[in-house]
Amino acid sequence: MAEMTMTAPRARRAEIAEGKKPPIIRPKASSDDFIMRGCLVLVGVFFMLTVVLPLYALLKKSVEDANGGFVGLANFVAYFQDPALTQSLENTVSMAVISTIVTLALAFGYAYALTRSCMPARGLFKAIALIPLLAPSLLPGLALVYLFGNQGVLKSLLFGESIYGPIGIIIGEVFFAFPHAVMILVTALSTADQRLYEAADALRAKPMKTFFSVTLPGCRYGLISAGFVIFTLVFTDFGVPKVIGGEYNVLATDVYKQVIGQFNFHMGAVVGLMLMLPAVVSFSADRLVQRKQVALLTARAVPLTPKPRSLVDGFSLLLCLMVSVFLLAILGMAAFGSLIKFWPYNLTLTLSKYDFGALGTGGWGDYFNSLRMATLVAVIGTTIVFVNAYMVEKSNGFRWGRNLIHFCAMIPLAVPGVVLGLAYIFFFNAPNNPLNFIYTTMTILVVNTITHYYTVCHLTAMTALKQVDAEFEAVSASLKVPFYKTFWRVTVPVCMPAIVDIGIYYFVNAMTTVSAVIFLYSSETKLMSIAALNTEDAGNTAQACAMGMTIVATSAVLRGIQALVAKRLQRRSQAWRMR
Amino acid sequence: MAEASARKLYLHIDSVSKSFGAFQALKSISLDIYEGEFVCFLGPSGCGKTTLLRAIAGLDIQTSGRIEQGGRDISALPPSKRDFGIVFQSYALFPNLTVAENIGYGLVNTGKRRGEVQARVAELLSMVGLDGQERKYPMQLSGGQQQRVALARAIALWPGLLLLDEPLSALDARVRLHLRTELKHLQRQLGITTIMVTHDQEEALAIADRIVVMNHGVIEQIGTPEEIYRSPTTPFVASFVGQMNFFKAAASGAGELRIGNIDIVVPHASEYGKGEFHLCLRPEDVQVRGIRPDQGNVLEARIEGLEFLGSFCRAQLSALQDDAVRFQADFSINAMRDLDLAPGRSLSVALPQDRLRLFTSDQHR
Repeated sequence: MAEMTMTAPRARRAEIAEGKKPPIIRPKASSDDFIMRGCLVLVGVFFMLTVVLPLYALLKKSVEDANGGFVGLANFVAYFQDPALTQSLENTVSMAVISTIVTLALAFGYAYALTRSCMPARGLFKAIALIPLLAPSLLPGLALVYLFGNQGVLKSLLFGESIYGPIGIIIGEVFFAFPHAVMILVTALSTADQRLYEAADALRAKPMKTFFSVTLPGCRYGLISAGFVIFTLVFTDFGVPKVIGGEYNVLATDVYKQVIGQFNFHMGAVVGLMLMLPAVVSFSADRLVQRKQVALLTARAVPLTPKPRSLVDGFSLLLCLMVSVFLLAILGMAAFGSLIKFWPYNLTLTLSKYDFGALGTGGWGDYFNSLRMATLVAVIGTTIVFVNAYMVEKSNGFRWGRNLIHFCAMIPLAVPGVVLGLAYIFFFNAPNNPLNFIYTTMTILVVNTITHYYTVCHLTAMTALKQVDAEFEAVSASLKVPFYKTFWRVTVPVCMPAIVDIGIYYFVNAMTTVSAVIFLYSSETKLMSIAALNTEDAGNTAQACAMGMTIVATSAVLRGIQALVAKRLQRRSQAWRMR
Repeated sequence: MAEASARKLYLHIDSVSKSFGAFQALKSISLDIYEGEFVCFLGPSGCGKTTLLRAIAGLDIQTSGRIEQGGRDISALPPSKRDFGIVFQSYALFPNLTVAENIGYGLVNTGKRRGEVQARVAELLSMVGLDGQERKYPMQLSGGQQQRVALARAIALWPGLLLLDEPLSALDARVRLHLRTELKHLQRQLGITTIMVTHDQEEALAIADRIVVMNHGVIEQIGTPEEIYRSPTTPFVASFVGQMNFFKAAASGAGELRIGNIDIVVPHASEYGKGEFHLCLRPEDVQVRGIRPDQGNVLEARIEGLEFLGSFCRAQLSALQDDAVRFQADFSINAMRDLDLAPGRSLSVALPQDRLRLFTSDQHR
């Protein structure tokens, strides 16, 4: 083990020098080892340029004055003395807390219904819950304008309150965060042991008692984890408050205003760091919680099969129907809005809003920019993620380097999009940076998006690779076959389902993302999601809806293709795959 | 051992140690293995047997010490520069490749022509008794068949050394018995030097030319299966291999030995001096028939319990003279019938002098 010889304590080395201990064997690295370490170094450079140095540039900016002189914490002091800015900190926290509570309650009920009830159409309800993932986060905001705006169909329901502000933000964020919470809670509730419920029955526990002493404790880590995820998502979200927030300022929109509106980069950096704080806290807390999580489902456990309970099943169906109607109404309203001639005076259906060229905007060029970026992100990102995860998981020796790279791969999860975008401006736009030339190109958008969504992809790849037999590399070494041949012929085919998942995740997110790229696009590389935001800003809500729906349709088509590909892959590989 | 040393030395392991942080997995292991030998590393889990195998393969290179294979120093070489074939407990078969592709995996890479590869794969398939299965995928085979494919793949490139890491332990008991006979046969036929790691002492006794018993990172004993079983040199080997009665015995120093208040005669007891000892005797060596009046170490015992084990019965006995002295004895079904043995009965048993083994009590079990 190379790392052992390198880190041998000094006392031990002295002993060796005196001849007390036999000489330590320094393993000779094979050509495989050299290639693997070379790849790891390349990945290290990649993270240095895409994560570490940009974040350092952001940090540096926050302690400098306008002339680049070091001012310590003066910017932070100024921040806390500005009542307008501290007000939005308060706003952000209260929005995040309320949205988290509402989403968590709804998502828990929904996930419980999906996993523990016998209500009909559970598959359909599960699919409906995931719809918001296909949409850019500004879409619920647009739909809410149509539903509750000044000329909204349901405006009377608000009793004179305005949708522009906290109410709109909360409804939009619930829509936006709901699928993330449902996915985590479905996983947590699926891992239950039937025997615990049988034991509770045998002890004559009442259903309520069983719920509080078996069900809830069993998924408490899932609840905590979902809570952190929702809080962080809402706290850092840019799309919803941008569209529906009105005069109600939050941190993410503050960053945008400080930087794009007032060119106050230093205050932007300070607000960006404020934005990162809860993400870092919840990220570390989540890591801590996951470490405590013990395997609830041992090999001997009997998976739970829900039994019909008319009352529970009835309530489950009712809840799922209500939530589904809400989710579909938001999407449906956006679709409807995009097809109406002139809301609310002329309700004739028309496709004219999809003629993006007509208003002198980028037209369909923006859409093709989005497609091009999403494709590049999916292809390049998936390759980098999978090769990197393979090197971290399967190479020999060099342990500290592998741990460091694994840590770097985890950082992007704690960095909100707005912050990452800002950090990229500071780093890549610096005149003395030799990489300055990629600023305002498609390259920077691709690199930024790959980095922004890196962590989830990395974890998916690691999970898949951990399930591959650990001895494949040893066997191929003994057969004198270089590792990259086995990687290509065995590891990649075996992990293909996970690789496809990563690619689709990258593609869909690249299509819908706004927050990071909004700082980085140029007129040649404008994306459809950004075009939608700008169009809305200019007051053309209908066309913004049309742009949002185009993105939803593209993501949905891709998901459909994925399902077909998955089915074909499964048919082709069913000869050798266990499932 | 005399026979073995006349043969050609193949693998020379000299003072090999391996540390994982503060934990010492191997403590200065030295061992010679001869050409064509079948050697088993036997020991409980965590004894270091797999660590030693992985050091020989170069998968986890030792911290210090030297390994020579066929006269070549391979101590620091990566696995791809060594000469071995390996079968893992999981078999590590490539699930997306057919049986033929798995077996020919290394051959294709050597740049051999397709016809040559096919011929070698066919030869290997018939060698392991899997003719006609070449187009199947590993998942379509039984555990025993998968094991054979892994074995065929491991010997495909004519390696000088075959390493087997618990290759049989994932199989059903019946398949395991069958396969170990076949494995031994194949090894004889090919004459390939083989090291197998196992925790199953029965398997090691049945299959090995020599057994290396390991515990806590050191070698306890090296010997033929018969030597290991008949003449264990440490209490650990005595207790780990086969069944063994342990008696606490005290020596006065004048050649007398007492278990409880029973006097026992042991050859050369006076050489051991005064002190505490462990006296060992296998249950099947407790004599119950044909006891001569002058043979010594005869005592009256009561049958406390009987366990029926098919071809024999294992009896729990206690000495009448001192009922704190308890031990086990195996009685054949014939003896059970002839002597009409039943719980509660008493009988005379002898502890034959030539079967008793004595260990000083500071030796670890």
